[in-house]
Amino acid sequence: MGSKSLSDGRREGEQMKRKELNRFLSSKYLLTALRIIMGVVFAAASYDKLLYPAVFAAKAAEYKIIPELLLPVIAVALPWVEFICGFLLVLNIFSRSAALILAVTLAGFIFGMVYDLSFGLVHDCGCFGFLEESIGAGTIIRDLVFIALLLPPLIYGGNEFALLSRKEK
Amino acid sequence: MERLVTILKTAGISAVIASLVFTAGMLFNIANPYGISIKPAPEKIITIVKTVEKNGGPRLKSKAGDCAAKPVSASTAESASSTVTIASSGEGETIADLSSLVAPIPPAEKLKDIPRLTLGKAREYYDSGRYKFVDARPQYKYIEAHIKGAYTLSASFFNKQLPAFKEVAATGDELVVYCSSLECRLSEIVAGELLDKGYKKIYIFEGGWAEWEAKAYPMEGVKVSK
Repeated sequence: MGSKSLSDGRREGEQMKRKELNRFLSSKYLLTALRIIMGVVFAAASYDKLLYPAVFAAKAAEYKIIPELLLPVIAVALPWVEFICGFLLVLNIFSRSAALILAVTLAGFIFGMVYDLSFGLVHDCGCFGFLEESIGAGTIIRDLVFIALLLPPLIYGGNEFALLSRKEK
Repeated sequence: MERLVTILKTAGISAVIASLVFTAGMLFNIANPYGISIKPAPEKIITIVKTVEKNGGPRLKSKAGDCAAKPVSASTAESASSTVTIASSGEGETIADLSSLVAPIPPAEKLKDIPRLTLGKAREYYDSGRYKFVDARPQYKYIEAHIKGAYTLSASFFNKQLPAFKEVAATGDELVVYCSSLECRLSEIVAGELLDKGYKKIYIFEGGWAEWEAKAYPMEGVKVSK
C-alpha cells in the first residue's frame, strides 16, 4: 500500500514536471522570441544566396546528394524558402508550417553534410551566404540546435494568418 | 483524430507555401541580373556586363549566371573575346563513385620538381600572355572572383572538369596553378593530377588568390567590386 502511494506520487511529480515543461515551451514570450530569432537567422542566411544563385549553385554542387538535374532549381528555390519562411516566422503567419519547412530543410542539409563527411569530403557549407565555413561537426551541431529551436513554434505555434485573425478578434 | 487533422493541415499549408515560394523564386530568377539557367545545357556563354578600370588594365565583371548544373567552367584566356565560357559535359552522371570527381592527394615527391612562383613572377608570367592560369579553388570561389582569364579546375571536381579543360589547354601549354593562399594545398593536388594527365610545364603560384587580390591585379567574377 505504501509502495503504491509512493509510485503514484512519483507519477504525479513527473506529470507536474511535464506540464511545467509544456507550459514553458508553449509560453507566448518563448515562442515569440524563438520565432523572431530563427526568422532573422534564416532571412539573413538567404540574403547572399538570393542575389547570387550561381555562387550558391556551385556551393550546392559540392553536396553529392543533390542530383545534377535538380541543382539549378534548388539553387534558385532554396534561398527563397529560407527567406520567405523566415519572414513568415517573424510575422507569425503560418508559423507552424514555416517552422516545418525550415526544419525539413535543415534536416536535408545535415544529411548532405554527414554523407559527404563520410566520404572524407570537406567543402563550404553554403549555409550562410556571407560566411565561409566548412562542413563539420560544428555546422552539424548548429543545425541540430536550430531544429531544436524550431520545435516549439512547430509544436505549439499557430498555423493561421495571425495578423488577420487578430483583427477579426 | 484531432492531432491527425492538425498534422495534415500543417503539411498541406506547408506544401502550398513551398509551391508559392518556389514560384516566387523562379520569377525573381528571371528578373535577377545574376539569375541562372534552370535548364542544364551543355554549353553556355557568359557575357561581360561591365568593364571596370583598376590597377593595370581593364577588369571585367562577368555575368556568371548561367553556370548552374555542376558546370565545368573555363574562361577564355583571350581577353579580346570578352566572354567567359561555361561548358559542361552534359552527361548524366551517378554520384556513387566520388573518385570519378575528386582528385586524390598526390605524394609529396611528385610535387618537389614543380617550380614555385612569387607574386611578382606570377604577374610577369600573366602579363607575358604565354601562360594559362588555373584556379584550383572550389568552383563557387572561381565564380565569385578569379584572376582574369583563369580557368577553373577545382580539386573537388577535377575529373569532371578535365575534359573541358583539355579542349582549351594542350599538354604542351604552360600552366600556372593557384589556390587561395600559402596555406592551401589545392594547387598542389591539381598540379599533381595535371602532371599525371601529361601536362609537363606546370608552375604553382604559392601566394595565390590572397596575394593577387590584395594587389588588385586584373580579376573578374560576379563579386568583383565595381
